[in-house]
Amino acid sequence: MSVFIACEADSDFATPASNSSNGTNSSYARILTVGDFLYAVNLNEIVTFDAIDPSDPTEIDRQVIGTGIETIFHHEGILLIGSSEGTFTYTIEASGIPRRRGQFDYNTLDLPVEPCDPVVAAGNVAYATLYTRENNVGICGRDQTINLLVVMDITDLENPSLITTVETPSPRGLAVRGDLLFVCNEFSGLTVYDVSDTSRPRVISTVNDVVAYDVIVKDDVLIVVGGSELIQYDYANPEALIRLSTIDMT
Amino acid sequence: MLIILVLTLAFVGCEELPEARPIPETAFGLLPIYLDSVEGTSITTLPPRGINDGRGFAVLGDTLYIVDQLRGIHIFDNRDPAEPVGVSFISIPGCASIAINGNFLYVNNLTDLVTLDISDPFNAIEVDREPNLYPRPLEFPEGHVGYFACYDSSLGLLAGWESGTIELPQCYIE
Repeated sequence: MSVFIACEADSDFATPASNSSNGTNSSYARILTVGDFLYAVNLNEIVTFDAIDPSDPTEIDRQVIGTGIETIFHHEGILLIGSSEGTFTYTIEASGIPRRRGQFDYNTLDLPVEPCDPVVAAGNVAYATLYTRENNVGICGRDQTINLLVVMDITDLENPSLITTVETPSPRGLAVRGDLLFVCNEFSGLTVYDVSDTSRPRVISTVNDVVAYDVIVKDDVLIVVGGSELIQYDYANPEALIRLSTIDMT
Repeated sequence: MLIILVLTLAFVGCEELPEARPIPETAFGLLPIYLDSVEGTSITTLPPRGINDGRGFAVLGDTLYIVDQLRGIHIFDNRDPAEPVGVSFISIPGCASIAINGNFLYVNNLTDLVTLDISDPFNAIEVDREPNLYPRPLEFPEGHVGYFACYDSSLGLLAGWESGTIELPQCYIE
């Protein structure tokens, strides 16, 4: 999930050149810096700011995306927008303004109720977690839940397609690095998947004694935040994460 | 999700209508946290403190910025991931998401997008504010099941929800 590996010349959609020092966001981001531009999503729009002067962002564009917009992720000049209705794909034009390319519609998954989700990507594959809260009440009071990891092929940005879905307990934030996918399961901990075969994500290990809401992979360290905790792991051996530190000051 | 004003059935058209609930004298549930318009836009840097409800976060270099849902941002020095050190807490009412560029932190303060200069992490300075980028917070506690005290906009801005004892609770989520 290192955002700026993306500037290589051979990538299809180059990130605009910049001297900016952008931070890396976890998957639940609703505000994003890419080069000299700032992107913010509200419930239904993506708003672009020119932030060449980072102290004074200026709005330059505003587009309606859809409904229930939740997260924004950048990957090699591509913006992925997570929402309750689907994953939307955009490319960043040279002007910094996003151009809509397509969407993967969760209707195709035939879900009983609208899910919430963040989405991340590596290469041509995007991963979204879809969940509904416990005690979620669907139509007419029936209790229905969704707990899915959705794997999508985004090679064709106009027509993202489903690779597979995997049941996973209460999935929240997620991060991908190489063949490893880290999925937060909130009160159920954290699951590490091997996604070398994206059509068959395989559980490598799980950590149960944490509250995991969101995650960033930074170099050799896995950083996990949830509840009152900040926990970091060495994931060199993904079959047995080594806990480096725990901050829990409550 | 079904939100019920206890006295009023707010939902029609389904076969399985829930029964109206009696109003207890007191109940444990959620109460709105109110802010006046001055408090609502007041961003202050405080000493490090415990994380209450950690959500999304961001990393730049060796520094972590952790969103404490609706409360603010915790800054950690993470040069040694085996021993992260709390630096400061920036109190930001309604905070839910952040992004970083160099010494500038972009964050929502209730409905506004605010730019903070964090060159000095002990004294974040507001340098820009884009008003009304975000809708007002939901006037009910999303994800909560049970009684809650109804939000009353005449009492101030809604910053979030806290647990407590409610007298004669009028609102309920099934």
